[in-house]
Amino acid sequence: MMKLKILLSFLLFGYLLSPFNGCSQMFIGGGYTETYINGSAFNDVKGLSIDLQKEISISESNKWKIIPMAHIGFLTTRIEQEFSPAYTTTVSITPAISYRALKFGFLEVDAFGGPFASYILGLEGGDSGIFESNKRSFLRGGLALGLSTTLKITEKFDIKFVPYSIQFGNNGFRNGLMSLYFKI
Amino acid sequence: MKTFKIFLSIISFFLLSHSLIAQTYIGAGFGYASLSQSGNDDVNGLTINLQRQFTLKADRWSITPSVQISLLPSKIEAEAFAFYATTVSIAPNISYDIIRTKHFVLSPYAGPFAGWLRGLRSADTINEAASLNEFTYGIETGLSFLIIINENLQFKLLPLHLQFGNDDFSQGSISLLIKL
Repeated sequence: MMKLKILLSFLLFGYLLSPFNGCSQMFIGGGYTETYINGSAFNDVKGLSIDLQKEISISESNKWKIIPMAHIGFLTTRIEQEFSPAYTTTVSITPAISYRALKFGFLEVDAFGGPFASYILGLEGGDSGIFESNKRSFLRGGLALGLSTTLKITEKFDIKFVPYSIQFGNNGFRNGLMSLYFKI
Repeated sequence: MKTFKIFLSIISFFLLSHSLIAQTYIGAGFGYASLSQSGNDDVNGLTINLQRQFTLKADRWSITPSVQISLLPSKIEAEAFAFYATTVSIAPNISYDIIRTKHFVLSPYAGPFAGWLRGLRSADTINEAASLNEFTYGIETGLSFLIIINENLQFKLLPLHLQFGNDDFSQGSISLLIKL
């Protein structure tokens, strides 16, 4: 049922974007992500992420944009641990709004924010004596904020760097992200 | 080596061509992966697909760089040897439109793929937990049905998408994509 919900969310997400083809740009990238799954520091995990954004301009000056974002995190730092290893993945979608705060020639700096929904799925591996293995599967939601820097190198080739974005979620969930994107 | 050079030449021809039409598709579906010959490591779950399709104007050939991400949790709750695996792969597929009408395009496709398999198998009373971290590569092939409702709204169904990789790795999926 959960998988079906995620699948439907992605389809809906894609469908909502489809009428805006005329004035939009796609970015794909990846980076480093760190997640606080709950209030306990024991459950902090880090890893790699794959990220996708679609920029849709909503003002003539291109200052305001809607940026639907998808983020998939592979959180592997605890996977080799001797006691109670864990492997966790996150899938989140964020329909953000961004504002271009600065522009210097081919460089643009934007601030963005919006609500997010994230699905966390993972396995805590237990050990052979004390802990049993344990599945993690839950939804988190909240507010995502961040800054991005775009280098407009040519009309077709842009590089976007997000030095920091963070998701503040319910139940102590936090997810920080640093990533580099390429326009496709 | 010669095959590789021919493949690179075809890709370069497509990407350097001035009459390219590029479209992006994103979608998701059901994925199934077999990680060993024994079948003990067969897992299934959710697959997410991203494709960028470059087509030459008035031609039936396309090159479609694709990213596939699979989250495979079907054994995550198993009592013994609980297992969770993920795969990420990229593939520069080449496709040919064998049927093309106003609202429907049928194209088989194929190409090499390279991927990353990551997973964790839980401990039990005898065995310690073990992680999986492997580079996978091989051949990817499948069929694509493009359904064109109008210029902006297009769906792509991949009813048969297969990867045959090294070390007995194989993966299949059924996905529905939408044009962005």
